[in-house]
Amino acid sequence: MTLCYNNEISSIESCPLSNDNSNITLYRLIKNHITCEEDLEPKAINPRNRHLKHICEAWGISTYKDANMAIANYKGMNSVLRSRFSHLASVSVDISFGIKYQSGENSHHYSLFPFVDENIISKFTTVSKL
Amino acid sequence: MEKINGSLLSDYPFSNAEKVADLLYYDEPILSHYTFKGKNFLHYLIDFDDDLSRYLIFQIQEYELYKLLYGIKSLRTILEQSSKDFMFQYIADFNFFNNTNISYQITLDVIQEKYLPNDDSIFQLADIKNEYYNSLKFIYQETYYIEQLRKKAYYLKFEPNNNHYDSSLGILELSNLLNLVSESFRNFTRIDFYKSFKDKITNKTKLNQLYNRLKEYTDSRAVEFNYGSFEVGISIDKVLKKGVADSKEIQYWLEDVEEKFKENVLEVNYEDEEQINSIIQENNYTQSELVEIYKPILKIAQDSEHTFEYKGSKEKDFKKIKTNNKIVIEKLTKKDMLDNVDEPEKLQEFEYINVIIPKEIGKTMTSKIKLENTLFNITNNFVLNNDNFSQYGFKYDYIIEIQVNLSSKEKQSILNATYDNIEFNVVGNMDNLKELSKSLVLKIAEYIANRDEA
Repeated sequence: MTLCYNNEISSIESCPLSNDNSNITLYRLIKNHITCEEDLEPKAINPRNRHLKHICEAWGISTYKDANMAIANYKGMNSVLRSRFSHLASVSVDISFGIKYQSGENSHHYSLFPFVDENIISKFTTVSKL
Repeated sequence: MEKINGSLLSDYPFSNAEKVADLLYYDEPILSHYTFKGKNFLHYLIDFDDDLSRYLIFQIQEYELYKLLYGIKSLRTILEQSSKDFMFQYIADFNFFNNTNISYQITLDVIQEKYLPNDDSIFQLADIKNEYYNSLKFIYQETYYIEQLRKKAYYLKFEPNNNHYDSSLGILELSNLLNLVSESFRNFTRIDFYKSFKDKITNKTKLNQLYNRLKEYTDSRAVEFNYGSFEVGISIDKVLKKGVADSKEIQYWLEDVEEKFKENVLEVNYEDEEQINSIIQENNYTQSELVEIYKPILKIAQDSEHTFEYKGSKEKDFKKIKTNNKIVIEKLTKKDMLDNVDEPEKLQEFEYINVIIPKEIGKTMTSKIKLENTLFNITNNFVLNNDNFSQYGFKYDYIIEIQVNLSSKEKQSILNATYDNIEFNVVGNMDNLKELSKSLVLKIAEYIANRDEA
């Protein structure tokens, strides 16, 4: 299976760093009621983050295994940053979905590298309105 | 992104700051904790475009950090508290690709609302892996805090000499007694602050602003009570206010001022004239400073209706604060006493002045001339001080000395003064300088009221 942004990721040594093989539900903030692909874009895509293109983490997307922690991040944002999100979505991640591992100081935070999948959007479920 | 209404800085002021942790992280750090010169700062992502990431950077006290981490206070409230504790906040636009930035010094009141955290910005961050954050929970949990204050507390005991109410005290009389102790302490801290820093911070406005900011932190807390006769344990909050000062010297003063008050005021044997003289000499107190510090305490000590006792810590025994030494009482409570005793008699000196007196056209001069109603053509300036303001009901905890220039033009007197770099002018009839001075005092007092309220 091929990772999304595989060309960019494969040029970075030891990327992704590791893999948590368990099947866990992860939560992500999304913009629309029906999840669109934009919601799954990693930060390395954003022009202001072009300096991070060679950093592995920049090609993963932030998810939380605790819904409250994802909501806490939303609550901490000001209205400018909040405007990018409207809903909380969940996705069940097993080894067929992509690569994931805990990253950063928050033990609930996971970096997620999905595999290319035409039906990826349908695998997300909207949990609540923010 | 919108233009920032702040002072542009030539350099980013926190280039050597060390990151402790990302507190909020969503695809990128939203809120990060940094330390800079041993002080805590938060970096808060507030906006971005295709090239820039804009951050709001603000200093917080350790206790505020604890309250943020453990969901006790919202990020919004923490930021508002920061603006009270620290004069400035900062906004920096980073271009990480070019490794450049533009930084501004700013105050919270001019930051656009959309850049501020919302009122519901309250969350638990207890899952962040960090030993230091774990230790904060231990330090600031309720009993630890009060226990730390109690360790440093001193104790006062007030006992009515009349046993009519089984040694209990009326609320009003208790409040009066505590007010007197508080008045003495407040005066002591103010006088000691200006004595300690007036030569180091020569800009009077800055000195006054610093004192106004610090005086909140010298507010004592009652940490333990005992009834029957009334006992109270009092302590300055050295736990929560740790790290509020701008320099080590000021922090040291904040930590030490209560000890100094105990040593110089509460632990004094007021029967011992020699000890009193040595305190006066050591601290170079003026007579009015002595009265401000000691008169409230001696008022309780001389009060025949109460016994007033003190002990330096919980474990020690109470000692009575009292005196019958009339010389000591005179020395510490009567204004101008020292001036009369210590200062050598001055020889009378004369200078001759020309006086301009307003005279209504067509009327004859009276033989009596009130000097305050005249303009001296050689005495063309004077100083407005705290006494001039208190005369009209304006009392300040800091020293006010404002140079006033007096001039006249076309039968009008003009008083001109500069305070806080702002010019104040009053123009009026030449025949009543006192009224004119009053107008100037009222004008400046109005400015001070608005400034202090802001």
